[in-house]
Amino acid sequence: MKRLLLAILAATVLWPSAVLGQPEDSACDELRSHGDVSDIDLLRCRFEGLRCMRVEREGRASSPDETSLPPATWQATEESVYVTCGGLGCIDAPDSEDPSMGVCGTPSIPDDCGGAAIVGGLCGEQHLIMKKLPGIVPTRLFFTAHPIVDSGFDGAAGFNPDVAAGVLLQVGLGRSQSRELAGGGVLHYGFPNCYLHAEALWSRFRVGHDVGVGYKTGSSWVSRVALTGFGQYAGETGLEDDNATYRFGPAVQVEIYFNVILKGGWLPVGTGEGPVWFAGLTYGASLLDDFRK
Amino acid sequence: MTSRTILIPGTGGNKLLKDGVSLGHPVVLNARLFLLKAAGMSVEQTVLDMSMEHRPGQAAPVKTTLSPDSEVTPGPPLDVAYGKLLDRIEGRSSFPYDWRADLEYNAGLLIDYLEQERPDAGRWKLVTHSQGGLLALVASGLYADRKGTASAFSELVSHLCMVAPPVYGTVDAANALVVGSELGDEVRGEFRRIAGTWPALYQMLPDWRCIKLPQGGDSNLGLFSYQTWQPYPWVLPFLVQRGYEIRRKYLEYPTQNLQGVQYSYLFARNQKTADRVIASPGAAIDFPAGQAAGDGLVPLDITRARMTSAEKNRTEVIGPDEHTPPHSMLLTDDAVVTLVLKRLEQ
Repeated sequence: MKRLLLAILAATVLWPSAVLGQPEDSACDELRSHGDVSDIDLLRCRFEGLRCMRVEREGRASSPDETSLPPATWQATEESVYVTCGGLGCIDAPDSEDPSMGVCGTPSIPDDCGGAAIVGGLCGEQHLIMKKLPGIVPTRLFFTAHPIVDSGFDGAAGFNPDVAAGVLLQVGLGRSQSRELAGGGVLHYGFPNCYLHAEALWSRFRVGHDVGVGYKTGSSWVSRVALTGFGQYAGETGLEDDNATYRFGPAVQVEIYFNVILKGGWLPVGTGEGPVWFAGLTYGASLLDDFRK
Repeated sequence: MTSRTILIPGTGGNKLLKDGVSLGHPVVLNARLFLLKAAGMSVEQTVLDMSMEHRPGQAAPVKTTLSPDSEVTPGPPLDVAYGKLLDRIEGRSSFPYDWRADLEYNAGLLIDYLEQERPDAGRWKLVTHSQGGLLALVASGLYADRKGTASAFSELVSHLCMVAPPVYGTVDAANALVVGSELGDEVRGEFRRIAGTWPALYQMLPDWRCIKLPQGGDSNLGLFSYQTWQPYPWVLPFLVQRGYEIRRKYLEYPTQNLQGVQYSYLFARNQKTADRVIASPGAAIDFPAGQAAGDGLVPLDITRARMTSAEKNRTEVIGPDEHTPPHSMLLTDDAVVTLVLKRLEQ
């Protein structure tokens, strides 16, 4: 960071003075005295040929018809470009066998500028310092389809297949953090793994709610699990059924490959006969588009 | 409208349509191949459907499918991979392309699209995933060539956020060509025959010294050396050559034509990722389990080592202990999507 700030400061301070034609040595003064001389020429007059530093850049793969890898390439350091060379590139020094030793000169490839873009014959692009994120509060909203079965409304064995529509909302609990990386860039960490999981579903036979906490596993096959409290008001012949009951209990949800959520629950509390169990799956309605022709 | 955001998906990120009909969700396609093979039935039709034909010196495919009298075209993006991002982009805009085809060819189509659909008095904001990032980088070079200036792309694009682009290649591309297990072990032979006809895979081969000798040390050969591919007759030499040309022409200095574009990279280092293969010259290539830090496909340290300092300063990295998904599903993570969208606001 200190080096970067130094580089930017140097670029800011040195460039205008050099570009505006205020080099102090006599050779440059003489050049200036000729009158019609460009700013870049003045800059070169002052910095070209000075020693500067280069660092190794990873070698590249060999071309199809080569039988050995080419040597590694070398890249100017930021300090070389913006401090030592005042915005000129740091190119290979022809009189030195040490590839880390360069001389200030005309930029020809981005490596000569330490990776910065070449603008008007100079290394011109200032480095971007990214703003840190204020924090991340992820949400997701799914309109869902719920094929679901349960044990029946009297608690006895039996299956009542049903398809419900629903809305699922997940809100991340927590904020990520970030810090600068050595060498440049930003590292983000502490992404929230726990989610508030809130779901509502309804069909001809039931109205249900499902609220709990989800956990992002980091695995692909079981990408998320959630423990929730599931409740449903359901009737055998419909919601207007005189014998409709409300049951409530714990449920488990397992998301497979970021895609389908398998769920099951045991509802021991409520009106009517019980306990009642249920099983089903949740699928995002928009995901169904992937299967359409 | 001052700007418009658009997604450029990654490899396999949008459907392919054969004569307008989807070739299938990857899961369905895999299942169909597996079931046909298990039942002893021919999978030849699928091989023909998915294979392409190219000729040397021509970026555009000669045939987009080897099925007679048919054509394969790009379809809509897969919601399972990009739904959460698309839900937060106005109009759910995306640029579908044939991710099997040549990068330069697709980059030309991308430029045409960006020019023709350009927002009134505004510029594009591009979010790319995986190969989509390479497409944008190649497009920036192609457009610079056309216009004669390194800042040409900024006339069209104000922001470019590249999520997990394999800028310097990925060992997985070589794995697909050699092992071919992407669609499951049952049909690896068939997949290899298919993959060998896809230029994009060749153009994503690793561009670093990734071949290690069995006895230790670096091989003198790279994955763009003809000699490396001698044991694999289905690997087409002219496509290896083309892969090398694309790398050298557009991806040696990938961001040099992004002057004026607010570009950024987003990588992850929370998955074990392959960064090497093992082979003696002219012998079969072995793929050891990945041990490097990355997103499962793009090794981070090697990528950063190849970056210029300016690129590093524009790089964001998801930390090593995060529970974000691997490469292909990175944009299913709400946190990543939020990160990307915030980057486009700056």
